[in-house]
Amino acid sequence: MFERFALGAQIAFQPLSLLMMTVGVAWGIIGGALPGISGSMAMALLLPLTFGMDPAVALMMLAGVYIGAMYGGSISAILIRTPGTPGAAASVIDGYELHKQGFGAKALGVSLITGTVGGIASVFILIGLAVPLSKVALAFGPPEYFALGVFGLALISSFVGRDLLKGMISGTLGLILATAGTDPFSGTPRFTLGSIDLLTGVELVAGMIGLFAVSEVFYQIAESEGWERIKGKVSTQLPAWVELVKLKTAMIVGIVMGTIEGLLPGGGGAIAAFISYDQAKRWSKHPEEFGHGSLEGIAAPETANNVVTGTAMIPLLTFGIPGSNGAAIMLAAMLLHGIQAGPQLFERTPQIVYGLFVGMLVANVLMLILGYLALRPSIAIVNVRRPYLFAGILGLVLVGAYSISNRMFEVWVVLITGLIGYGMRRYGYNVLAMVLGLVLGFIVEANLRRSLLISIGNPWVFFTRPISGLLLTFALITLLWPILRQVREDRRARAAAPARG
Amino acid sequence: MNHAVRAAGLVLVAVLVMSAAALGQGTYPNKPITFVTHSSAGAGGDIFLRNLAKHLEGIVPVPIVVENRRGGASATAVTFVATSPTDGYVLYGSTPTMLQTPILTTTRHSFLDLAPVVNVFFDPMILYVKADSPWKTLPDIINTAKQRPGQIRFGAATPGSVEHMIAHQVQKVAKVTVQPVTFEGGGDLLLATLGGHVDLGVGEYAEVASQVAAGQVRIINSFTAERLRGTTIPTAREQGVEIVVEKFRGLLGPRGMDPQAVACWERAVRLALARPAYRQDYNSVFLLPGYMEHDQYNAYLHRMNQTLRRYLKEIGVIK
Repeated sequence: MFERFALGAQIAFQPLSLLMMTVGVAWGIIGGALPGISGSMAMALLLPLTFGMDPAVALMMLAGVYIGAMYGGSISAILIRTPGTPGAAASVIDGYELHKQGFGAKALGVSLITGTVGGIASVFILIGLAVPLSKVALAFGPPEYFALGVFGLALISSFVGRDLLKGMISGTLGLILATAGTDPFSGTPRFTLGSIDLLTGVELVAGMIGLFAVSEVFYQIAESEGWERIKGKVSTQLPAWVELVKLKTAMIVGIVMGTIEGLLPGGGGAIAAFISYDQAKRWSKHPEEFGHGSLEGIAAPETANNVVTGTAMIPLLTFGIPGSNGAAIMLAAMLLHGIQAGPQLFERTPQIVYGLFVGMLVANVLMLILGYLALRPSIAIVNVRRPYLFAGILGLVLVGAYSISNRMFEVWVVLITGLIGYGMRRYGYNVLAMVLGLVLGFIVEANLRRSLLISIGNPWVFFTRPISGLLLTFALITLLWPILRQVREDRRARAAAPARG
Repeated sequence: MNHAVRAAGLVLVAVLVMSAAALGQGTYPNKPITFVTHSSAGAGGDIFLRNLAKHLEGIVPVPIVVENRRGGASATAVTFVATSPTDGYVLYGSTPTMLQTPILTTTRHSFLDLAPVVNVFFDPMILYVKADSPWKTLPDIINTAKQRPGQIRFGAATPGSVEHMIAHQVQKVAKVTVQPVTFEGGGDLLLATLGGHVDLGVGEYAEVASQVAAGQVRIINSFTAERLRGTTIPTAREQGVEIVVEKFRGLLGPRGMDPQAVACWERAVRLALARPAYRQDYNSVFLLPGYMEHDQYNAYLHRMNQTLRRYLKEIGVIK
């Protein structure tokens, strides 16, 4: 074991490896921050460059991009309300709020530091628990995926606050949008309005950019009076040590959720981010701060999405099946270098596996350094007069939308969902609930139908299987909790009213 | 010995350089080539093109760029290539998806608007079970299906895919019914099979090879015409079920593509397939070289298109 780590370290600390990882992490941060270029896309763009490299170095470099992109995604989420990667969607909530209050640097600092902690923790989880955790991945069949998706949808009730009905309508809008495309079970097109562009459905990132960022630009233009900078003065103060210590609960929540999602192919970080946001709120001493600029509200999802970078390698290394889009590019790189991922990887090519382990640790440290250097300049970029800022954001997101599939269609998606988002916010509907519906719609639908195929039509399959039953119970509690609390508060208020009157 | 190897290497290099020069003689190709795929980066179609581009280096004297044009279940990429100039600088990396989409829906262009240039590979399809499954042969599975109609959970990809077509043909040829369970990707299906959530799966050999080596998965049979080289896996045909289905991977250009450019690619692909480094690469991922020139490929695609259409009619997806 020890010799293998020594072997890995020997490769990871070569000057060339360090250089390539630095380039990878830097490119990951930039790519992640640019709307429309997700982590996996940033990796794919670098893939041809790695052809000529030693396979271990190539994988380290790509892992560096993956890790860097997770932090990069939060930069645009916090500063311009644009999740650069799906995993950063939950960081929009409190991150952008903090930025509007002038604490953008603090928000970015929390994202960077908790992300690094999460990333490093995940490498240790990967090293120590890969084999036992791979069993968890096997235990998740279609009913369990369905139940997890429903659990995610139930979060709507805790995100929307008082107006549950409008929240549910918003979530349903997201679910409806997610049904457009090709029916996963008959293969026939549905709700495509006769357009071939809609055959593969609405691209998740495009929908998120429209609903979050473009709607915000429209909202600001329509509602704001002044044309000054976001705030008179912008603090570049970083989080203090005491503030960081207070985030430990949120980080632990993020580590647990990120570990689970990384194991499950098809997740990609967004679900873990949302669930850990909600759980962190539940366990927090100051749940009332969530949604109004809570540091914990950034720490939980940002820890979670960085944990995914490590745990998504577990199914990749143990089964040869990627646990996320980013891990899929790693698999592609292995195949292109003629390496077969899977159970025998550890025995046949230990230098690659252990090189990757050490490389990922190094890449996390590199992310901390590069992220720190990039922090203040990135705030300076957005600290301009509003007309320039909004024009800049629109330009950036539209180019980003085009780059998703190199076609105009996503540009229209971004603009139309932007308008929808603006209308929703104007009339008190919840954009976040709609994003959740959009993210989870396909997972829930496909696994509901697949479960019924597997059980040959028996609907009890969701309750008789322990993991699925447990998740559905959590979902029910999550859904009802805010409603019960509200009923109790209302009753108390009513009881108090006559006394006062 | 060493000298012999070196001499052989030198001869090979000389041949390659000469053929490169021969290819570069005319005016074509004199600017970068674009390979278009509808796959996302890192997916099967994308890896195929990037690998091919890598091994064409030195044979084709200009750089080759791979471009991902996703969307429309291949329709976006097909339209892009179909409407490109016919001078041979834009080529499409084909998979059966390209045939399937225009059958299922109305698209602006189909493979009839493309010129088949050259086929490169076949992906062998196989039937597999978890290692502890009681089934050893295809007849075992068919017998169980006869005893418990509609109860075997048969994992395959979406209707319209080659995998799903195999599930359908097994039922038709063996006159049994099974419960097809669709999955989005081969990896998801493999996990579900390993986890015991489905009883068996059909997929590409490359997807399960590492699990087979680790003793987690057993391959029942292949759906190829002949046994896979270097294996003892029987074909479905040998087991009494007459099914031969394969996934093809090749290059197509816009219809009316310059015949000289077509000939140039036929030669380039033939040379690349013979390169030892490429051979080692594609053998290691269990791809079968499936070289077909323009005319042969054209006939093959038409035949495949008919088969797909008939199957989709039989399962009631189209009228």
